[in-house]
Amino acid sequence: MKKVAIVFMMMCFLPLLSGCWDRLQLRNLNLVDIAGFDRNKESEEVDLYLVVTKLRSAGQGTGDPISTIINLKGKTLVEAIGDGDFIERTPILGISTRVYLMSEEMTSNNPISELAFLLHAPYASINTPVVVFEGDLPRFLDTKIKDNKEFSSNLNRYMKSLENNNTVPIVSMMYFILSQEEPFDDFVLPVFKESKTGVELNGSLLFRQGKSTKTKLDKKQTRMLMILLNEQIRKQKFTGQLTKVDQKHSSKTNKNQDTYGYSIKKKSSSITVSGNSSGYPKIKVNVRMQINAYELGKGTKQLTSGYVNRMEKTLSRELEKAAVDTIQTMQRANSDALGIGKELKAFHPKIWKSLDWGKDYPRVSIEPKFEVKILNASKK
Amino acid sequence: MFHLKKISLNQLVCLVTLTQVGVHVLTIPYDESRHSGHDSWMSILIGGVFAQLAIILIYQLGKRYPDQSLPQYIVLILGKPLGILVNALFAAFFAESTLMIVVSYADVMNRWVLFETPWIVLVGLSVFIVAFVAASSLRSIATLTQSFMGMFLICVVIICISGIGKGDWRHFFPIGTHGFGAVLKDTLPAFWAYAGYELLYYSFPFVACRKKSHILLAMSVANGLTTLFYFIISVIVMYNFSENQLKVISEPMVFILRKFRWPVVQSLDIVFMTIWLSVTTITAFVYLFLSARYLAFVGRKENRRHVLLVWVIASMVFGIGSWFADKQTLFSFIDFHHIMSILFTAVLPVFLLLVSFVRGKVMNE
Repeated sequence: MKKVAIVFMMMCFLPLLSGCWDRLQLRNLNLVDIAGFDRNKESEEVDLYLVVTKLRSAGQGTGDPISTIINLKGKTLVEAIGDGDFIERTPILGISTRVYLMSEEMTSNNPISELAFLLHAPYASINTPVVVFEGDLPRFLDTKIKDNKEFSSNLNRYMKSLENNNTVPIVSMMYFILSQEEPFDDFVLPVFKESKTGVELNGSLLFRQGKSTKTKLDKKQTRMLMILLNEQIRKQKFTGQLTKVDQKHSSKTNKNQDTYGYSIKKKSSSITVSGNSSGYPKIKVNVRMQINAYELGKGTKQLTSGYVNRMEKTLSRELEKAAVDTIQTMQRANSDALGIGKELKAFHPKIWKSLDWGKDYPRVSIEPKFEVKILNASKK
Repeated sequence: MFHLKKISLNQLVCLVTLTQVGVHVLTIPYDESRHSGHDSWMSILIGGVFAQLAIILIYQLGKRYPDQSLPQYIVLILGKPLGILVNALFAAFFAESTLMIVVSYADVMNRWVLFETPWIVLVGLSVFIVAFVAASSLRSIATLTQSFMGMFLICVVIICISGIGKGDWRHFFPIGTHGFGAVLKDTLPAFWAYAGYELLYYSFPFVACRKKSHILLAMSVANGLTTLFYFIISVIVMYNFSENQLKVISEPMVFILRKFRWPVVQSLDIVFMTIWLSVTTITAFVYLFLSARYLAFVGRKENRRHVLLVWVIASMVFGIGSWFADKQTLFSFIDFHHIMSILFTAVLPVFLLLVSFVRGKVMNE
């Protein structure tokens, strides 16, 4: 029994050991917070920007963060990283990278084939979200890190809130790379642009089979995409203006127009397909929402039941209109970010076989159907 | 001296389950989805059924000689010279299985956790621990295995936690499109993954039980647990990856573990792999123990120097294992092992049972 105890203790301590050869000293490490990829237009070289943060005068739970940028260059991304061995600040570790920023130049040029090595690279994080950056990435990183000490941690927090609240579809590096293998897994990547304090979300970029379609959804369309997808949305305020039938659309914002604002309490969406064997199938995206409205129409109108019933219908129609616009944009770009192809393949294999999805997707009729229920009606 | 004390049914369940579960966990259901695609979970289940059939065969064989283990009664079935030869072959097969497990897990560690550590150190350390345990009695081994069950459960929890999350159930549909033939084809790699129940050849007389049928029950429970575990893994993997994506990921579990993010532990995959080492160690030391026991019966009399035999085999395993750092050699070795595995776990029990049955009839007449 003594032997049993010895072996058991040995095995229990095993996870704590790192080995003699593979130990890495914490103070020597360069842990990457942000990795930025850019392609130089003239030299066609890949620029890799790694934001590394260290703590100066670290105490117990305190310390001043100092971020620096390491710039690596190479013909391809792998070569750029190989180049890193000649830089004084090695070893560089990517296990805690919080976000991969890709410039638009990089996305337009089949980025996956260059990034694919990350899947099998040691010390690389593959669960990190990929984000497209609109604008001059090197200049942006340079100025932000100089101006704002806490830029990396702010960005980290921002990414986390986007993920938690489901503001925009988040795609990790692993799925981004794997999407090349899956012909029916189209998606959108969030698009960031520079703002005064840091970054802001500026819509999303549509992808098709791992390649950029160069078509963007704006902020409102991205939001609509999230509503159409079957995912719960948290802590978000949806606002907009109701267009009235008798009122002509004016280019200037009309102050007299009815505004609305609500938050979603519960939401579900489903895809139904009614197909005839000869033509294209008819696809309906049904969205049921339970919402809390805090503004409906102008002024301090009471939310009486009759009014609420009327407004539920108006709002549904309003949302349908916005959804049609979003769906059309996606169809024009031939990017099936809603995953309708997957749905057909899984549940309607017969219809699926009769279609050539790559060609037929833009022509299929996709109709959104909304059913809004306002929860917070007041007494008469 | 190694079988005076008996093991309990409970210990038998732990021993068999943890011997069955091994390095394969990381690759399930990659090998099983080459033909059956997203229906690979069916292959896994059917593989479990086949393993159950093999268990029944081995149990029937053991029941005919309830007080002896296979290395002893094989002489009665096949005669002295042939019986000794089969014992030697068994010893070689189990030594080869030990080598196979040690080497393939050292390969996993070398690729994902300890990049710089020399190969010889990885193999050497594993072989040392394995031999240290295998040199003890069956009862000690069973007790140790029982305490390792906790480690195994931690790993199961880690797998389940990191597997849930972003995924798509639609990867499973439409069910059964690959056809029954394809599913059956992939049952073979699944069947390899279930190997480990051949332990019953040896341990049958050493199980303390009121009725012999309880042994079959315990074996079925163990095999059922393994089947359930493999099934859970294949469901988790298919939930996370589609059929096309699975084509490029040969170790899906590693990627699912890498997917998980938790503020306390940075890389869950590394934690998992180090804890999992204890589970693969169990498989290896059970095989090494068996190898030494079979070797003990090669000769006219039983060789009672068990510890010496274990260390001799262990040093041979280490010697050969040091040359396997190259993955291509490893692959061809694995292919060889699979053929051997089928031979010893499925073909041989059928053959022995038939011969023993015929002999019994002849004797009666």
